[in-house]
Amino acid sequence: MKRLILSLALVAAGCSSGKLMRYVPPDTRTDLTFNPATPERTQLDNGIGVLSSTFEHPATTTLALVFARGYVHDRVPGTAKLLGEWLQLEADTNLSPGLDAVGAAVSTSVGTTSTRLMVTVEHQDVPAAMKALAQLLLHADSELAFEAAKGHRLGAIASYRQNPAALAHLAIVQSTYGPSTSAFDSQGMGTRESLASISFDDLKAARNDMAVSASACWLIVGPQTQNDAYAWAVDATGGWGRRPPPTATTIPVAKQPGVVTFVPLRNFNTATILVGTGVPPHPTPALQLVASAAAGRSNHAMRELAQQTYGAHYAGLDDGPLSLLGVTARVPHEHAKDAAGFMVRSFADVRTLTEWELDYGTTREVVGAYAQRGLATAHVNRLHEAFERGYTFAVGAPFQALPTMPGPEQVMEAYRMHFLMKQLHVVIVGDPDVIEPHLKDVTHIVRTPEQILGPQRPAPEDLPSPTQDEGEGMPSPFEPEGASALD
Amino acid sequence: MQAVFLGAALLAASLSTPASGAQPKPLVPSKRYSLDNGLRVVLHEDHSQPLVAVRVLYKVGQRDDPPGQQGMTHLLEHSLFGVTKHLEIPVKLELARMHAIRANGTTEDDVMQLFEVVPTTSVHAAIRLESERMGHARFEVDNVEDEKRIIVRELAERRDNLQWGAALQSALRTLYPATHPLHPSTGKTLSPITTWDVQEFDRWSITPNNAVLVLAGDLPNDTEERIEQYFSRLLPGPDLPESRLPPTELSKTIRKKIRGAAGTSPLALLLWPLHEDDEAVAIVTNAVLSRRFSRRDALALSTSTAALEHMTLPLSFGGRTFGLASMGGPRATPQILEAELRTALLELVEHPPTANELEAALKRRRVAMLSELDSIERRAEFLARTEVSNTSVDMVNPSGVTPADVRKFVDTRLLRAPTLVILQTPPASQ
Repeated sequence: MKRLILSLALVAAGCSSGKLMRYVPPDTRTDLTFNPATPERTQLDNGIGVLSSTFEHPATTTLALVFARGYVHDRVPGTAKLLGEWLQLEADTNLSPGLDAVGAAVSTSVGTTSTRLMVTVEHQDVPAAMKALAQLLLHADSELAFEAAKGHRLGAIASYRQNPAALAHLAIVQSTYGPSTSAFDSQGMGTRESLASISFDDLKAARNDMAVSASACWLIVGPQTQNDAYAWAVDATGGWGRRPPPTATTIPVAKQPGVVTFVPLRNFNTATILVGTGVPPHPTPALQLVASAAAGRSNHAMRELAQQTYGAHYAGLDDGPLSLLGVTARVPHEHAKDAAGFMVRSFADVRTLTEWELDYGTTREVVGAYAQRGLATAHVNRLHEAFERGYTFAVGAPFQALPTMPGPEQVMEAYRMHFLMKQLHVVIVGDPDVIEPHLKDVTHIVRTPEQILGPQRPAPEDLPSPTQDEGEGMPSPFEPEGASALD
Repeated sequence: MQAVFLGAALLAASLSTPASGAQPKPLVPSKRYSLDNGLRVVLHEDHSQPLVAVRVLYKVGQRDDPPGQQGMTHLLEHSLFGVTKHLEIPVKLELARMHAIRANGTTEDDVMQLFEVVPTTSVHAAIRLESERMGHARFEVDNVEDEKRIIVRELAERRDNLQWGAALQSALRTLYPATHPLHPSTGKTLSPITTWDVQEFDRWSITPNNAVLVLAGDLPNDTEERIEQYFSRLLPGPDLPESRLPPTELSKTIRKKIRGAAGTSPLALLLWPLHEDDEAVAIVTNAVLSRRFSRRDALALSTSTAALEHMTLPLSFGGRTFGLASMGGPRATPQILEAELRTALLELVEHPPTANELEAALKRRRVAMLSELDSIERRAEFLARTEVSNTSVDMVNPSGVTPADVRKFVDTRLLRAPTLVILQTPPASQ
């Protein structure tokens, strides 16, 4: 029942039926109470931060080591994500008695301005897990894993060539922020050329640049006290020397005039459309409500009015300075232009939102926020966000129980400030034979996947692999004679 | 896929943590009781958030689909978001009215589940809504026909837009003949189903004595009274015999080559029918082979640049099977991926896991499962599945399986046994 989209528009349609409801639930916003966990912050002598929250949970603690270095700091595009992949492979494959003993499955993530290593473990294993995580970071040294990580990154770039949603996202990032040579171009992926130029020594140097005490912070969500957290952090990383982070790269922020971009891509059953605009980092609820409202209106228009079956969805990219909000949809190729038109108009229509729709939208945001706050990993994300923002919460005071829900005026203000029609970007990815004739009367630019991803698609034979000679062209020993035809 | 796997693994998990000499401690404390009409009720209190996860599990699934009408249960699930006798707007709109989030339904081999998360202040409304769906659903021709079209689109989307969609459908089509309930449904099997058929199917399957109602979260004081008020009036349905699927069988190795849709990668999927007695050793082997829980072969697979993703499949896929799967990068072929998977199995026979390796893999798996119980939704699902589970194997802490057992299982049940092999090649144009 994945189709169940409780859209604003659908509900609005229900309301206008003129029937009285037998049963009206109470206003959910007035009676709800919530005592969120209180984050506390402390700092080791060497500058490493410790953010912890006491969080009741049945059995596990989630902890992370985060650094204020992300892909926006790349000297060579692709470095930070390659570093994340390498550390992930080291954790997956390097025999680490410490990680094995505590059942820790490490997950790494690289954003625009930070890099994080996270694990979830049983409570009694937290101190050992913190030590193992720090050891992994400092002692990762496998060149084999480096080669594998590079292969994975090149594979990821190649797979984008056949991923309409990823192409649409990259295309809108590039049209929103303008052409540059920074890692923004590829959301930190880099290109085949930039990745090829990164040596193992370069990557270890990038690791050393990142793993300095002044840019590091522990995030711990579990039943521990702040004193526990501090003692564990000292035990695991108190010996790190005090070293300041390298000078940060200037973060480019550009906002280009809106443009329609067409990306020709054949052989897919549907076209992919993304309509959106760049917004300030960590979009506020008011901004998100504007995009939700536009998605609801688009969905209603496409499903109910135009009988297009696939509907439209909210699209949000909260990636530090590279944040975007918009609406995305998959539609038959022949409907692509009309659907894009519905989606653009839905943004224009936001000014006509009713008070009821706004009320409904805000309440659902509140309920959704509650649901998120109940998850330890989501709570770690909140601590991470606080870290990225420079700890802009009052230490020792609870996080706000709920996001400050905007009133109609604030939503309209956010709309007027950040959703200017002239800065709305449209990307259509689909079959050129079907779509281009429809776009004759629309001013647009054409960007091929190759242009979006870099000058060339990676050639399979160029991918680095210690085993490539053995694997290339080798018949499968398990291939029987007379294998069945394609079914 | 991993999320599905863990969810499925929770299906039969014991309510207790390992004994370790102490009194078993419930993983998710709950109060359980039954109404006179047979409805089983499970309540779990957690007042840390003003939310309640509501879930109704019905013991009806794809295995109960009538021959030639595969998809009946799925169609019924969809239709239960339509109109009812006493709600004056359709269920999907009523859910919106009560500010429900994550309102949805799932249909599996053996169960159908309807669920939502609501603010505490809407619990009363949610209880009433579920009693309406259970006892007073109405089926209108237009709605049922619409839902058929939607399901056909869902199936097409899964086949065409998910990396594994076409391979899994091909596997199900091959394992199960056209008349088997687990043979994939299509527009052709849905088409002959009438609104009356759906209504009759609802009449005997969506009944209190065939259901478990779970509420988990910030339960108001009057929860039990409300449940009594709305559900005790519903009449029980007929007593249903426990329906069981015949064992999945494969008399010889079958190989299928398929062409994936645009955007798909080279894939290899290997499946073996699983004996019921092998459940515990299969869980342990699954953990040892799973990239998520084990270090075995991860580096070999990674450095080949062939495999971008390698996973073990849920034990419940297509009834009862054990599976291994691998998705390749740009220079992979399905044949290379299959060879890598077979090599990983051979490696396990030649160099069986040590006791420490086995313990570490199981510990990772256990931590992952426990952390899923973070959310009230997953706790509600855990409780619902536990209530209908009839396995004796402790899925959280399978015990008594030795490295030698794993070796023997891999050697005899996998490497030497007939295998269903699905090899997917991307479209020629890619």
